[in-house]
Order: sequence, then C-alpha cells, then structure tokens
Amino acid sequence: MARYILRRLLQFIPVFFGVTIIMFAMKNIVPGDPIKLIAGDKALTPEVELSLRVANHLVETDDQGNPILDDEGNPVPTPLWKQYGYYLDGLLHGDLGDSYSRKLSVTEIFANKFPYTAKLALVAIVIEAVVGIGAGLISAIKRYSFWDVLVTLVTSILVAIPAFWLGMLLQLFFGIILKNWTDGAVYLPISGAGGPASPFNDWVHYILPGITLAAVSTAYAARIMRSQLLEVMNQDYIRTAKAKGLSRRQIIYHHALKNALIPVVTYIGLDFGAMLSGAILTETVFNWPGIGYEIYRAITQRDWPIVMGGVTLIIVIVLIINLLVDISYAFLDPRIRYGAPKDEG
Amino acid sequence: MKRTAQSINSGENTELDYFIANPSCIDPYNSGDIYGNMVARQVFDPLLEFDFQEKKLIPIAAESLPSVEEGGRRFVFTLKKDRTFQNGEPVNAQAFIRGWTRLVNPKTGSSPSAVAYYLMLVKGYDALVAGKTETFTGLSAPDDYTFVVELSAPFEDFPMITTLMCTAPAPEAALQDFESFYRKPIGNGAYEMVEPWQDGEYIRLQAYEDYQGTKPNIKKINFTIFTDTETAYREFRAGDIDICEIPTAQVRETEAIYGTSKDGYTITPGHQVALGDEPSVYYLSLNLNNKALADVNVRRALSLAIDRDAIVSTLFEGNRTSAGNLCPPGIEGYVENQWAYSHFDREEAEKLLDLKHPRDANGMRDLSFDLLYNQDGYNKEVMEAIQTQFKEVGVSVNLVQKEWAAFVSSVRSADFEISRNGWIAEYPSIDNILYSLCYTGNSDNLPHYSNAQVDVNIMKARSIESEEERYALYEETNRMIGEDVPYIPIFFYKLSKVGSARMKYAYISPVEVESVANWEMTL
Repeated sequence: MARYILRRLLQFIPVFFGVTIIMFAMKNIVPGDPIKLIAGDKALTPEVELSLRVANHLVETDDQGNPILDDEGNPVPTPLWKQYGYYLDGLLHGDLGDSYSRKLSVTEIFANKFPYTAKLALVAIVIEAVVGIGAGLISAIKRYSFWDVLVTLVTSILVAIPAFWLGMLLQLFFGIILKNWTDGAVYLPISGAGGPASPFNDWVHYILPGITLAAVSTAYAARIMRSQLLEVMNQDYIRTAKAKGLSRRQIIYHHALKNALIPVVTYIGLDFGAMLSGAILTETVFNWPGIGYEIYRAITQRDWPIVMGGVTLIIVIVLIINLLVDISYAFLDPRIRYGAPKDEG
Repeated sequence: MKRTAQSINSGENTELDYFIANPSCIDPYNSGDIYGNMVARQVFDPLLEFDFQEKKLIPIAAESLPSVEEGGRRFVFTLKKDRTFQNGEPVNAQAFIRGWTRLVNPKTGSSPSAVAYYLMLVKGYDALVAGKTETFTGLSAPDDYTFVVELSAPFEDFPMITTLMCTAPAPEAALQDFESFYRKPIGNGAYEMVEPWQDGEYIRLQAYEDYQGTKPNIKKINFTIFTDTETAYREFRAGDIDICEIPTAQVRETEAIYGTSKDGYTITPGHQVALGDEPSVYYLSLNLNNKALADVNVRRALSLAIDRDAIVSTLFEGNRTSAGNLCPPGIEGYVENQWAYSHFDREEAEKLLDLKHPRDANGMRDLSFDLLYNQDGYNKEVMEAIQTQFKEVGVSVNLVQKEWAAFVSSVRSADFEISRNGWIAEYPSIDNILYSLCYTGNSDNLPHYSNAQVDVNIMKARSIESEEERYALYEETNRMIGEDVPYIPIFFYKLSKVGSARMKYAYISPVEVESVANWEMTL
C-alpha cells in the first residue's frame, strides 16, 4: 500500500509540470495584455506601464532593476521559459507572486479564501453523502413504494434546476418571504459568510449555500445509490446469503451495501474535488468569498498570477482527492489491493 | 434563527450598511474605481471637494480655495491647522508633499500607481515617475501649513484635481509599512478603519473621535462587498443594506415600491430611488484611419442615423439620457445638444450618404463596417439596435463581440473600425473630456483625431483666468469637435441607487463618491 501511495505521489510531478506548461502556453496565446487591463478602459502612461512590467518580471532588467532596451528603445520582454523559471522558483519558496490588479499576494488571497470554499464544500459533501445515500437506500429497499416515487420525482426536479436559480428561490423564500411573514423573527441570511457585521452566528450562513451547492449532486448520488443497490441485490452471493437464512437487514448492510457504495464513493469523491475547486455560480449568488469567483475574475482580467496559483492549488487538491478515493476502494472491497501483483489480488 | 448580541437593531449606534463591489484599492495611492474612492473619501479629507449641487469647489482640508498665481502655473493652498491623522500625526504641508510624492514615485510599494498621471502637470513629475529622483520638485512648503504646487504648464482648473482621492495627504506611517497601510490606511477624514480591508468580504469604519471637522451623525459604516448586484439587491429587499445598487432591469419596479428622489440625488424616506445624471458617456469611436470613415460626411450621416431616444427608452426604460454631445451633464462646461450632428435625422443622413455612396439595386450602399464591442452589460442589445438603424440608411454593419481583455487589446492597438467605448469624467470639468479624448496623440484618443485648432484652443483655455471666458472657449471647442464627429455619442449614464427607509437624509453625488458625514439615519 505504501509503495502504491508513493508511486501515485510521484505521478503528481509530471501532471503538475504538464498543466503548468500548458498554462504558460495559454498565457502567450490568449489575447489580452494584463498590464493594459489594470487601469480598465483608461490608458496608462508609458512610464507607468513600463514600471508595472518591470515590477511583474515581464521585461528584462539589469542588476539595478532598470529595464533593458533594445536598439529601437523598446523594452525586451522576458522570454516565457524565464518567466516559467521565476514562477517555479517562487513556487518552491511558497511564493505565488502578487495579483496584477490588487497588489495582494496570491498566497494570501488563497489563504483567506480557500478556507471558505473548503468549509462550504465540506458542508455540501456531508449533505450529499447523508441525504444522497440515505434517499437512494430507502428508494432501493422500498422499491416502487411511495418513498421510491417521491425520491425519483424530487431527484428528477433537482437535476433539472440550475443551481443559481435554486439559490435565488431559497434566498427569496428564507430570506425575504419568511422574514416578512414572521415579522423578522425567523429567517436565514441571504448572502455572505458571516463576520462581525452579521446578525447571525457564522454557521447559519452555511445553510442555504450548502444546500444549493449540494442539490444537483445529491440527486445524482441518490440515483446512483438506488440503481447500484438494486443491481447488487440480484447478484448470486446475495441469493446465497438469502439461502443461508440471513435477515434482509443483515444482507443489505453486511453484504450488499459495501459493494454498491463503490461507484457512489467515486462519484462523491470526484464531486468533492470539483467543489473544492470553487463553485462560481453558488459563490456568486450567495456572495460567498471563495476561490471560484476569484479565479473567474482573474481569468477575465488576465490576472495570471491568480490564475496560475489557483490552477496549481486545484491540481494538488484534485490529485489528492483522487488518491484518497482510490485508497478507499481497498476498504470497501477487500478484493481490491494496491501495490501487489495482480494475480495475488 | 438566533440573533446574537451584535444585532444591528439593538445597538446604541447607528450603523450604515453600504453596498460596494470589491475595490481595486482603498489606499489613495492607487484608488481608481468609485468603490475604492468611496471608502477612501470617508477615511481621508482631500484639499478641496466639488459641490455638485452648488457647482463650485469648497475647501475641506484646505482653509480656503487656493490662490492662483503666475497665470495658472502656481497654486498656494493654506491648510487647516487643527487637523490630525487618525494616529495623531499632524496634517501639514509635509503630509501632502509626502502623499503626492508617494503617489508618483514608482518605488512606492511593490509596483507603481496606475492613477499617478493626474499629477502629470506638476513640475518634476517626469523625473520622479521615471524613477530618476525621489523628490517632487514642483511641491514646496514655505511654512508648516502652506502647500505650494507649481505646474509645468498653465492649468486654471488644476484645483479640481485636488478633489481626487489620490491627492490625499499621507502620514509617516504610510512610508514605514506600505503593506499594512495598503489594507488599513490611516487618514485625516471623519472615519477610521476598524480593521484591515477583508478582501471580497467587508470594510468596516467607525467615526474618528478626535476629528476636528463636523462630527458625523452616523457612527459606523459597514461596506459590504458584493460580486453580484442581484444578490445585493435581494439583501436590500430583506432589509440588510441601506444603500444599494439597483439591477438595470428592476429600476422601474424599485421606483414603484420606494419612490423616486426629487432631485435624483437626495434620498429621504419615501423618495428613496436616486436616478440623477452621472458625468459619464457611452459612445462609438470612429477610427479615422479607415478610408470610408475619413470622410466627414459619412461620420455625420452615421451619427444622424442613430435614434438615441429609441435605444434609451426601449432598452433602458428611460434610465439613460440621449447624448447630444460628448461632454456629459453635471460637470462644468456641459451645455445640452452642443453637437450639430448628435441627433436623429434619417432624411439628412440619407442626403449626406447619397453624395458619394448611392444605394445600389438592393438598396444598400458600398459602406460596411465592423462594429467592435465587449460582451458585458447591455452592449449587445445596443449594438444590435445600432446595426438595425444603420441598415435603414443602407449601411451594413458586422458586429464583432470580444470579451473584455481581448477587446481592450484591440482598441488600444487601433485594431477596429468602429468601437464602443465609455468615459467617466475624472474631474468635474469639460477639460477632462476634450483633453483626454480629443487632444492630438493622447492615448485615450482612440479615433486618432487631430485638429490643430482644437489643440490650440484646449491649451489656451487652460490658461484663461476668467472662468466665464475659459468655459466659453471650451464650449466653442466642443462645438468645433462636433462638426468633425470623431465620436458618435449615444447616451449618458444615470445613477441607479436605492436607500432604505432608515435613511433620513442621504446625498449620492453624481460621481458616487461623497462623504457621509452629514447623512442622517434612524435607529
């Protein structure tokens, strides 16, 4: 197992280089000069523009930090491979550079925002796991019952509703209509993640965005759970268990569930990775200070240090989560063993 | 749900909840957008302020208006003597010299300020901005409370520049620790920062106890940062925000619920929707290097072919004003309908086009243009309306939509035929519009317009002492540009702000940057 994990960790390295090199290539291909975008519609004076390029390592400089000019008096742009070198060098020192537009360090921006994304993702994934698996179980066990029909119906609706629209409906109902009905006694906060100016405890702010973020995935998780469990229940070994005279409860919890869970866990795991990469729509609707909107804004503004930092962060997260999901298979299904020759497994 | 002890309704102090988008900067050093400036205005007092209601400059940190010497090349400000920064440092002439030098010096902080150019005309700017020196030679302090500014060329309206937040004074503390000052500036204004700016979340201010000016009525301000106006507006409807932006599609509905402000700027209970004119203009830039567009009759005809009123009333429910010239309302030098061709007259347009470009058998002319715009906001709808209106006079238009970054690159490299642009007056004078957009060689002069007489007039106007004569010349120059039609003005923007019923009195200025010190709220 340890060897397997080590091997997987080593695989991170080529993936990481591959993605960052693609990012650097895109930086060169995608139109839009980040420095010209700093002042928005307004043109910068040439001196200021040049100083900004110097400050952001976009032009070559001499030892004193003055820009090197070519024969025609134009600054020499730093070649991409050198920029990549600066980037890697910074990264190894834990420095992702500064945002072009806001002069804040990228490390600091993500250190502030990622916890919000992570906590929200955690809330959503708990909702997804508990409600999704629970509802799937009920509808599979009580197949064709009222509950099964209800779960099927609700999941169909949830899958069809866009997250931002659901979010808006929840905001309208719990934030405005409920508040008006109860004369301000009972309601939920519409946006934000709490903080000193909010009348609520911080955790209350997680309820609506958590539900919104989890909604679609929960529906999928429930459906996958239902179909997997039904499929497993038709397997030979389940029939054997029945023949042994085990109770239905024992069969489901000790024999069927673990096997049926594998695809569900895969789905939830991948989904968790996606949620940790930020959820632009949910974050926008709930004004959530997470990384999703930050990266989106950085892309539109060509704020490359944030884009690069964000992508780096997301790669690491996704790789780790995928590894954890793979490892979890071994616990769910003893036949799956890693790091040993196949015929022994 | 449980309410904690921090509940805003049970507190003893009034607290203002104000919608902003995430500012790019709140330190005057780089505060370029309205939201950053709005925060900075509470924390800092600039030398002067422009009173949009009375249309005149009033002293804030200065004792009085400056004396203008040497034909508009030298300005002497006398400062109020009792003022201190929120850390106790005195607000003297050195504080202004420090602030202005800090703004222009590219070695301040990790990278140079993008708004330093406002001080371009001050002597010594070039050497300082190029990093050749650390002193700003055009600034001096004969005594502690006299601040002297010398310009390299006359500019009678220079005092207007000193209303901008980037010209605020800086305490010693700003030089000692750039990073912490950037997040938690220490100013000379009526409010101080409670804690550093929480990027993307909030900025909290409280009244500065030792402030020597008029004490503010509202004791706390909470600037809540939103990424989405729609969400902010729902928070407003739920009663959690006091001053909010209205989403464009909901302006009429909001007016019906909350009542319209009488003058468009003042918010009182029952008259809570402020829809006054803003000094900003939406226009098309015509690239004069294009062969067909080099013909003034074509440009005039295109401008006449646009039915501005139809665009304004159908797409914006009237929450824009048709533009009769390039200079927006509310600022010095604005006069209605100054441009001879900035109105709708399809017949006249046809006549002008018939001169050289008669209609062919299909009813179209040999004129076709690419119309470049960015995909945000209502641009697409406006551009489609213009496309249809141009087609009516036989001119075909090919719409080219680009996302913002690609769009900016294209217009900056003059890679367009006609492009959609906008301009917000940076200081409240027509000079800003004419100089930035129409002076030969200026980088924001996207059409590459050049008229020697216009250049001469602008420079001449800048040195005329009499305000009346000065603006007469600016207006004449504006009409002159109107004959040349390098731009096609479409509309002027309007505010779309709403205040809660808790606001007893609030005044939103046309530039959306104002001190809230004289605002009043009920608990």
